[in-house]
Amino acid sequence: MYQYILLIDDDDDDQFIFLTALENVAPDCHCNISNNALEAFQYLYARAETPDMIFLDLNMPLMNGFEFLLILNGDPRFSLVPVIIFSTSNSPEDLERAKGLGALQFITKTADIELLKKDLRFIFNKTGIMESVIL
Amino acid sequence: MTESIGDLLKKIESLEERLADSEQLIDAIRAGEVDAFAVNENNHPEVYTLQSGDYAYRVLIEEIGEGAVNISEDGLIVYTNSSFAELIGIPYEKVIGRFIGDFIHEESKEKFANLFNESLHGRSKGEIILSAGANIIPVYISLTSLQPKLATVGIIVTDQTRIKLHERTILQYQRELELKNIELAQNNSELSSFTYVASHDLQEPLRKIQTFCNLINTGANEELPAVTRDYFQRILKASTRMQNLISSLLNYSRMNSRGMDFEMTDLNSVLDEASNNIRELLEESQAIIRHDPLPVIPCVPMQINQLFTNLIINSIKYKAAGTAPLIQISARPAEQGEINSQDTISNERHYWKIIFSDNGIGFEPQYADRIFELFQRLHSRFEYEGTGIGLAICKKIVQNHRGFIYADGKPGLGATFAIYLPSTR
Repeated sequence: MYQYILLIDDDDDDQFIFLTALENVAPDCHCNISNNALEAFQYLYARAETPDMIFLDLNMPLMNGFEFLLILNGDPRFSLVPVIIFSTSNSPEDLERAKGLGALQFITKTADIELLKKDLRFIFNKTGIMESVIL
Repeated sequence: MTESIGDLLKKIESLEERLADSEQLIDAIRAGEVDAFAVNENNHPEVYTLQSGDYAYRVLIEEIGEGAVNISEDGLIVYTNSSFAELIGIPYEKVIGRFIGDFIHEESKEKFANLFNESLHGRSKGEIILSAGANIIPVYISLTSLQPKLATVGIIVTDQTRIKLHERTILQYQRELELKNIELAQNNSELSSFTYVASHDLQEPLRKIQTFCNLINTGANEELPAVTRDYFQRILKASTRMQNLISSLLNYSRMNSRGMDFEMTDLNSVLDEASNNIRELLEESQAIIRHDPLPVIPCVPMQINQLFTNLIINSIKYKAAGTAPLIQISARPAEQGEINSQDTISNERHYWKIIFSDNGIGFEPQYADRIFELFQRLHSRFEYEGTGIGLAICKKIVQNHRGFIYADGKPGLGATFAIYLPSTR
């Protein structure tokens, strides 16, 4: 099964950290990166296939993660793609709002990459995308 | 026939008697004891009043501090008391015979005309401005028509100069106060959004430093020389400390009094929750908490939880070496006048006094106020870890609840924190 995911994050350090963790958890998974939400839409509409999963930062310039989710939900082609929030926020309000907009999981960025790996394993395991990494 | 001398003498005697009576009566009228008398002449009663029968009223009108003016229907001043003359600063005799309109300020002429017309049907009252020479005098006037007995209107004139002056001063103060309030609200909201944003944005680069230090420590640990690993450990430690500072500061900035939801809360359960949150720390330090039954008070439970947590953590942090921390919490209604008088806003308010005392290292009493200030610490980091924010948060929480917190201590004899919280809202 061809697996590819999309990461939308404007912070290049966080992109690097995410890719490092993903490389460790799911070496076969292909990850595309968009630097902001508008770029992500351009990318999504330019391709025939839909991603298996989207990791989405919340606090981004031009269009934030919540706005992205709202528009994404309106498009039947993408409305079923699982979205995981990947943000510095740990506020319950943001979590509720994201869940309300259909986000599947909420990962808070920490200084510990091991925690991120653990979260990724849990998510891939739960959603059944990465059968190969079931623990 | 001429009358006999005896008859004449009798007549004189009778006339003298009547004269004496009359004089007595006049004196009485002058003194204000009577203002009218009736005489029965030929079985027909007749009432007499002397001009001085108005004496009592005249004295009253003359001596009263208010101006009194009588004007004819065309506005001619036919009578005035000395107060009115003094008020407008013109000699008494130069006021009578003038027109009232001469003393009414241009701005008030129309209003006065209306009040005057109104008074012809009864009474009227209102504020106008008098002017006489350079004097501009705000007054309150009350007009009463004396018709039909007299074709005049009586006016009582009350000087409003001082009242207006006070009003103006009060208005000015009020305006200044409003401006200050707006300024204060702006400052407060700027400050809290600044702290919030700064804390949020400050955390970001810090998290990166920590992440990459962690990656180096776990990934390439074996390949690096010991001294390099030590440097990275130090970087990590410093950035962890920075993060603690920032998150404490963030916590502090969130503790503002806006949008507080007060609810009647059992402080016993708040204390249980607080202890539960730091259970690991309590177990690790073998701390013992003993407490009296605590009251139910109106408060924001989350904030009181934070208050109790911070005080307990403080006691554990500054425990005496080789002794398990013992924290005793007592509670009783505060007595009247127990709180520093300068702190009490209302003596009628009732407070609960909740005391946290410990067996820790204590502190010099001279620092009792300073320990509640932001970033104030009594020890170096080598001795005790700390951000200098914990007790500042305590103070802010207590202030949010319109309460008071005091610290007391002696080196080696433990610290005591007395908290006064209102028992009603």
